[in-house]
Amino acid sequence: MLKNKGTAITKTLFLHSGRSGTQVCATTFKMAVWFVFACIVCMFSWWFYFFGLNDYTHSSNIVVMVNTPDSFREYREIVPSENNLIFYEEWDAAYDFMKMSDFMHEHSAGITVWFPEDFDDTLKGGSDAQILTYYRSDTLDYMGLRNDFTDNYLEGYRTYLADRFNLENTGSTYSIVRDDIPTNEGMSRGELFARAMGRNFVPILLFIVLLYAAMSSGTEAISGQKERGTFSRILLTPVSRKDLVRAFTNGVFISSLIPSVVVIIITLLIPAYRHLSGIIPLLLLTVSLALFIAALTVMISVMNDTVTSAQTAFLPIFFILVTVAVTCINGDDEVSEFNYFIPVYGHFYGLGDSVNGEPHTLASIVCSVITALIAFGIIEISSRLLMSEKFTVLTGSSSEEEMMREPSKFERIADTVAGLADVVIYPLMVLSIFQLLAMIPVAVAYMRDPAYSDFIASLAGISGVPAVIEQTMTILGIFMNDPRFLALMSVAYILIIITYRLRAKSAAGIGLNRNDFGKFYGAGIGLGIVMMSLVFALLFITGKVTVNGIGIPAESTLTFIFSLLMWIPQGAAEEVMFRGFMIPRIKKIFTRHGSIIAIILSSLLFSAFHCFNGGFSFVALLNIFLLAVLFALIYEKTGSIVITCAAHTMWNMFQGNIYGLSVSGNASVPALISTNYTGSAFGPEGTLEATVIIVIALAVFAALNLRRKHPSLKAS
Amino acid sequence: MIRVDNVHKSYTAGKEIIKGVSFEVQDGTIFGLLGPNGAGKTTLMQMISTLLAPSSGSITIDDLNAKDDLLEIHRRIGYLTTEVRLDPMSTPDKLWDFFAELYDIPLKESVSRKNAIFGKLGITPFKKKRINELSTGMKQKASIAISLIHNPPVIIFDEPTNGLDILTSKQVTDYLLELKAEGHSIILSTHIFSVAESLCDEIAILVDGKIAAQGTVEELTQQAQAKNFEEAFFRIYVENHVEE
Repeated sequence: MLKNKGTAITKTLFLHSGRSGTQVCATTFKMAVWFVFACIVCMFSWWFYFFGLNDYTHSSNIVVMVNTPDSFREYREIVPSENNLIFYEEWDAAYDFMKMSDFMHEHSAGITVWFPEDFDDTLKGGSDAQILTYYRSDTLDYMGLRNDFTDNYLEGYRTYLADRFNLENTGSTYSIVRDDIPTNEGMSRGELFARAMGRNFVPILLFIVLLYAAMSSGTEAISGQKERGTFSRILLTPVSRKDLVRAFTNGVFISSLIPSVVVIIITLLIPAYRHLSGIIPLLLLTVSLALFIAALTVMISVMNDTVTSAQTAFLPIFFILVTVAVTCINGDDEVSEFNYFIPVYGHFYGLGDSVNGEPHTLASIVCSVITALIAFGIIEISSRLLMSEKFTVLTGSSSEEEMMREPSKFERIADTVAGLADVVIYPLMVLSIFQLLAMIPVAVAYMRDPAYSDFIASLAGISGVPAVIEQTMTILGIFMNDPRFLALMSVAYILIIITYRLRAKSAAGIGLNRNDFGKFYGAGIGLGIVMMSLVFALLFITGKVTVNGIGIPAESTLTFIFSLLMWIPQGAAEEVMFRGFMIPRIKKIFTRHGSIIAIILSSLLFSAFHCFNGGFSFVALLNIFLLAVLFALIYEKTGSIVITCAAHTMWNMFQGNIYGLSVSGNASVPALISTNYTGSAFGPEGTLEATVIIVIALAVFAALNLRRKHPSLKAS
Repeated sequence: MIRVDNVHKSYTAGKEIIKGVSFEVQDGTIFGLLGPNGAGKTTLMQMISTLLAPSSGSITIDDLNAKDDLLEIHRRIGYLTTEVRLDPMSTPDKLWDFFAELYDIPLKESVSRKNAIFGKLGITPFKKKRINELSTGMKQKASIAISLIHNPPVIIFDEPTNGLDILTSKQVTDYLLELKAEGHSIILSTHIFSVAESLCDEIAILVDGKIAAQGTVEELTQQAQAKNFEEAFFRIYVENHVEE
């Protein structure tokens, strides 16, 4: 018996067990994608690092006052402050913590106090007014200054205000809601950004890298071997089941650790994250998390007979862990020490803090040890499971009799549900990931813009799903007029198409055929323009639209151009998702019912997909559904989505950029024709006029096809 | 020596598949299992190979029991059924090296054995080709070679000549006879009467999970009062099969 038997088995199982060339290519590509993501993070951090960093020495009794009201100046003359107050007159953005941080930075101050505009008037009117204080949270010194200034000096001001505006006598309730916002250690903007990225983005990236790599190698490991019929030979070698499980876990562990170590190394190359102190906890946490995830995937792999079923079983775990990670994104002050000791939570916080060079070493060690113990427990369970013939011998082939049996009703339903879940969840997942990535840089830019400060402040008070959706759409509306966002979204849509192309393994698999590309695309352009123009004409006749003028303001030219270009990948990506990829896959699930279910289901999903947009109504649902049916029929007829890609692009482009109407409820982009529109808030797609045109198009399509199908009709 | 003693097998959900089977296979003999689809041949072979555990009864290989020393049994058996496949993306050469490590075979011994077996079965020119590029016959021969990598005293083969052309089939049967001469005990299942007649020292006819008849080809033919072995098989099958 070899001494290092575990290593030998890991090596043999993973180096020789014949991962195919294509799989290796796919894995390498995925790693490259993560690499690019990591590089994007690097670039941001580098940029901010170089443009926003300088040494900061501070004097502890300087306070910056922003938007100081007259009443405070009067109060100061009566009660002079011991502190050196610096008055900075105007900054509208309340929650622009980067700017507040800059103020402190600039004046070497310890606190910034921000007053809303019209502070005095608001109080006179009997309403509450809110003061925000920003302080630095690094030393006790600042805490002392903060407590001294806010509790003593500002409390006095509060009493003064009560007298000054006679608030008690009017009986109105008043208060100064003091909101203490720590801005970390008086950091520069670049440091703050790098820190936020280190805390939140890097751990999420690591979580996703680990989960993804573990999923692709782990589900392939045992369930893949079972599926290919190569597993029983391995089971019959003189290697114990426990060693087998260990070997597979090692293999998955190593193959998920490699990409995450790549991400860590790149991260550590960024100057902002070059902290030696965090390396050991960082590696410990990564290793323990990788081990835990590897053990989980191998257990799932043991319990499933095919790669697909293992992946389906793994998806919920993927989502749960990512959701936990997302819920961890929070301000520093909200994290209790206890969280650092709990697996997964501890990993998220610990990874972020270690990247930022503030490791909780003890907590990280404890958390890693607990996680490793859990992982060993899971490995033990997996080896027990692997002893059972239920998981070692394929039920399908355990006897000739069983091989020939029909799948049970339950199995058929389970297969259908799993297949549908894949078809439905996949587009949502892909779209949300890429859209989110496109939004991050623009969101950061907007945080600093006073014009949007009220809006950002209002976000703090929203509650309930509808409000969240409404605000999201408002944000999207704002973003849609930003060329940076449009450019990033175009890239995101192209990445979506590439993701699908890789998943389908061929261009034909997503309906993008090269045959007659130019002819088809041209036809689609014509179809989209004609249909949208007819809708516009009809709206013009019914008086819902009046034309104000033609032309684009010079400052919007760039946005206009980017927006025109954005529709091209946007239309194509949605067509790939809802037609080219989805329809053939639904058809495969419901083989008996031909294309009908596929067309109806994909169209319903397509319209449901738009239901979160502003102004959504029944007519909008109907229109988008009918339009989707038309596109699906064209796809069915031609076997290609090239026509509909072009039609989709032109429909949206003419709707938004030419006729100046909102596209599926999204606020309009700069348009060639300036119009007044009084119809549905969803835009033309929410009007019956559009229904008429789409129905006519469907009728024309049906007529054309009937003729082709029955030449006799033509003759008569 | 393989001893199967009153073995029963039923799956939790289903009915009994093996209903009390007993036989012995001596060293240096070939034992044939004959029976229609669904008779339980594969289940029986999976139980002997330890992939499945019998519901009751015992199976010992050289007086070793799977419960006591599973890994030692694994060292002593070579197993090949239609469900045991080779990784389509690997090559015979790589797979040999892979399993040689899992069986703890010293490198020198492994290489000389590989050259000998690959040479004998004519795999050598194809050993660097991917499995999915090989012909059915070559795949089967590679499978056989790798199942015998550890020179197991007990060999369990399910349909070893199924789907092979006459020449390859002859090559395989000759090799099995050679192994028998070396003292291996072999359990075969087959559909092909000529293979059963020419190879097997003893044959058990399995019908509905029970051994309907057992003996040499001559004994079975006489017993059924048939002209030849093929006719004997059908007579025995008809006598013993119960329609449900």
